[in-house]
Amino acid sequence: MTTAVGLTNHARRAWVQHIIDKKRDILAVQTLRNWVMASTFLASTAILISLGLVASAFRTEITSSATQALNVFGHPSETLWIIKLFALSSLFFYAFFNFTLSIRYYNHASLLINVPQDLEPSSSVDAVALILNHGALHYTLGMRGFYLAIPLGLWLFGPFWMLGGSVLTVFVLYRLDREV
Amino acid sequence: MLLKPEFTEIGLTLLSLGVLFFYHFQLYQAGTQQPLDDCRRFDQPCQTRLGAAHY
Repeated sequence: MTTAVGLTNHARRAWVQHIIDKKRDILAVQTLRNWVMASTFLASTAILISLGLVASAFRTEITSSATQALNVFGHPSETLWIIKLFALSSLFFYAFFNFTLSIRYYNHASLLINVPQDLEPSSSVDAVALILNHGALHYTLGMRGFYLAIPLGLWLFGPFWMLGGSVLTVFVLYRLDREV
Repeated sequence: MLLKPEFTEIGLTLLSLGVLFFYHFQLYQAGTQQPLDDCRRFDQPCQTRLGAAHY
C-alpha cells in the first residue's frame, strides 16, 4: 500500500538532493518560504478559532436553540455543550502547535540546505531531508486537526451528525491519503 | 425513543470516535508495514519509522 505521505517524503528527499547537488539555493529559499507562509497562515487561523471557541464556552447562554432543534438523538445538556466546545478548541490548539512546529523545521531546513557539507558535516542530504520531512509531518498533522474539526464541529448539532461527519471525513481522507 | 438520550449520545459519540481512530490506526499500520515493491520502486532502504518512510 502506498500513502501520499510516503510518496511526498521520497519526493522531498530527491528534491533536497537535487537542490544541494545543483546549488539551486534561491529556488530552495523561495520554495521553503512558500511552505512557511502556508504554515503561518494556518497556525494563525487555528489559534484564532481555538481562542474564539474558548471565549464562547464561557458564554453558555448563547447555546443556540437551532443546534438543539437539530439534535434529534442526543442529550441536551449545558455541561456537554461546554465539553464539546473545549474538545473542538483543543483540536485547534493541537493544529496550532503542529503548524508552529512545522515552521520551526522549515526554517531550520532553509538554513541547513545552503550550508556546504565540507564546512558543516551535519548538513548532509539525509539530515536536511529528515528535518524537512519532520516539518512536513507536523504540517500534515496540523491539517489533520483541521479535517477532524468537521466531525467535532458537527458534534455540536448532535451525535448522529458527528457519526455522519466521521464517515464522510474518513471516506474523503481515504482517497486523499492514497493519492498525491 | 427506544434508548435514553444519554445512552444514544454516548454510543454514537464513541462509534464516531471509533471510526476515526480505526481509520488512522490502519493508516499508521500501513506506514509501518512496507511492501518490498515500494522499496524497490523508489530504490530506498525499507524503513519502519512513521514519517521517515510512511507506506
